[in-house]
Amino acid sequence: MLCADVQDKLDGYLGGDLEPETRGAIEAHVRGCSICAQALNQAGRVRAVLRQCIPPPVPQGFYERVMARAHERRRLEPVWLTASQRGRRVPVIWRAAVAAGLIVGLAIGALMATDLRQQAVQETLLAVEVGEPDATSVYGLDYFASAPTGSLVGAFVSLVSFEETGERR
Amino acid sequence: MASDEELMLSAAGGDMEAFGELVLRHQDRAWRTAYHYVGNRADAEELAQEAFLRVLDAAASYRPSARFTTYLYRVVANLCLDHRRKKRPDRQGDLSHRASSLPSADAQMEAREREETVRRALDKLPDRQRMAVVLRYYEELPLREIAATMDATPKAVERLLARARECLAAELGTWAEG
Repeated sequence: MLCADVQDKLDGYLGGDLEPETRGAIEAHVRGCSICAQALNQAGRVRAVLRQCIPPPVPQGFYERVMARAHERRRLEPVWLTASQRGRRVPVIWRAAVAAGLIVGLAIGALMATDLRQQAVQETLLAVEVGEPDATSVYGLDYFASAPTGSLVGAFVSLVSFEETGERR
Repeated sequence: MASDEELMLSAAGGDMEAFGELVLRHQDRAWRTAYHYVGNRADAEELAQEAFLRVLDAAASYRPSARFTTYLYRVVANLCLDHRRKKRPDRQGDLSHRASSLPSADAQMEAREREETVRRALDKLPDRQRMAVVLRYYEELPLREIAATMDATPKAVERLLARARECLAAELGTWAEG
């Protein structure tokens, strides 16, 4: 084994994590390598120093405080939220924001549609009021005025003109 | 006695007693991990509490594909790592239980000095190296479980620990020279 590989595995070695074969390889390497032997000793001392720092016990009342917060969280959940949904719930504020966005979007869309419709009606009424002599101009069909005789477009123009003026073109 | 996984399934169905049993069983490990990582009681308790609340929130989607302890350690570790990113750790004023219980003043002074040195050394470690050290040296988790907790490979965990050990040895100085 290379020194770098041995030194990477020293924590595993000291903690008893390694397979017997790997442990044996490390021990064989350490016997013949003073650098890795020193690294192994150092690893053991670092481990020992760290483990001398023992934390204080769990604070008194920890369990009661966790349970109080847990019950409060459950209490604030919507009653219609099923158990399966509870784990995947989206924060209330997010749901409220999405709902508000949808309502605003629908309202804007409805207003725009109404406005456009009113605008179209007004334009049509204006055209009729002005009294365009050529009915086709109301529909912007002026470009059909020179349609070839006998063509489908020409027939259509004639039909429209006849209905308006009683005269065929 | 119900297994941790069975208790989680019960908690998912709204059984708060089952959740409470999980808290009782595992509050020590959540507390220890958080305390060793952040170094002060107030933040450690907040993190440990929040870890259990996160477990409760996610109970319905919990799948026992791994041990519950691995799952809990992962929740605690992620909270600790996020905490460190947001807030500089404050290790002032907290002394270990062991130091304060030593019989002589000299022994207590020596122990406090050693602990201060250890805290400074841990503070200097990058986040993930620090978490690997906590899980390995204080929680004594096997390398594979540390890897599962930190979403890393065992080889990556070995490297984290090796780098951390070098930094710690340098910072601990005479304390680690034996």
